[in-house]
Amino acid sequence: MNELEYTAAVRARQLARAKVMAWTLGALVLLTFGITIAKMGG
Amino acid sequence: METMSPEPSSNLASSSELPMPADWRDFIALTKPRVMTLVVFTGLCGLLVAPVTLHPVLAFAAVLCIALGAGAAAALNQWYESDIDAKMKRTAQRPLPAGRMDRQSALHFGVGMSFFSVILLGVATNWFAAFILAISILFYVMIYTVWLKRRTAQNIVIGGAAGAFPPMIGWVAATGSLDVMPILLFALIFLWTPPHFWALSLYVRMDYANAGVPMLPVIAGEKVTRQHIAVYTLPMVAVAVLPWLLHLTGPLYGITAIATSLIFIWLAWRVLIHRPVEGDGMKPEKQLFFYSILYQFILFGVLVVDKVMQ
Repeated sequence: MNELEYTAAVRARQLARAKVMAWTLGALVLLTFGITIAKMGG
Repeated sequence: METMSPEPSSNLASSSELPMPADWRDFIALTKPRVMTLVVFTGLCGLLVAPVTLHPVLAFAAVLCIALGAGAAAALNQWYESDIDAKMKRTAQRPLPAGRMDRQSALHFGVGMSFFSVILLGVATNWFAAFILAISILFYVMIYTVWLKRRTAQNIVIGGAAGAFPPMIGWVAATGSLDVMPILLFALIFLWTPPHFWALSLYVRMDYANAGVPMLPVIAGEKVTRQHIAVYTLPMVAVAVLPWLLHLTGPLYGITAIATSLIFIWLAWRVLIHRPVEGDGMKPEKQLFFYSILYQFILFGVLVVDKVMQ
């Protein structure tokens, strides 16, 4: 694996992790809203 | 003067020698998802059999926190045990011993998720439930993994308490207090853990011996382990039936507990009298191990059905 291929592989893996993290954080924000509304008696 | 290579980049070491960020799937693997299934199920059942109904969103958050807490404890367990995991066939392909993740990432992941799960559970339900979740994580990591596992053949007897907390957490998340029922559910998993793990350790004994883990079959031998399985099965069965005898459940649970427990006793008896010969595959031990998982799923599942029918 040369330097370019290695860099591309690292970037691809980082991008995949970033996508998973973004979806997770989005879901957690929604969950936090849900918890707040439920605790308010909604 | 050194001659420049026409393609200097091609002189880089092979991909296996270069550091790569861990794949996100390895973080999932770090949480032991298969073990988590039973943890989440028993936690959910503890929540559902509680006499107080929790708002669905809060109930979802509570079960999520139990799952995250279990995953965090599993990650910290693998962070600490990567050396012995590397020596065992069963665990050598986990992310740390296989070299797919650095230890610091696993530690940060485990610690971060521990704090997150406890705080979220406290905010979503109550701080008593969050406290028990924190105790269960600490118990699994500090008492079982760090203290007991490498020191005593009784590691799994005391360490089993860590896996017994989820139904109690589920119940407390719903009610805010403890009662006889969640304590019985705790006792059931606590007493179930030794026969479950000793059945496994009988057929992966050499793995444990090679890794230097003092599991009972390694220290005391197979015969003593078989006797221990039988001895621990009896109080476990008594506790399984107790919720019905105490009129905390209906007859459906009672009949199911008796029937499934009799099968458990029969399988434990077969393990007790089994004298393995070379190449027989340790069938009775494997049957007991897999049935013990099914036993938990059936008992907790029927507990919920019984509650709904009442």
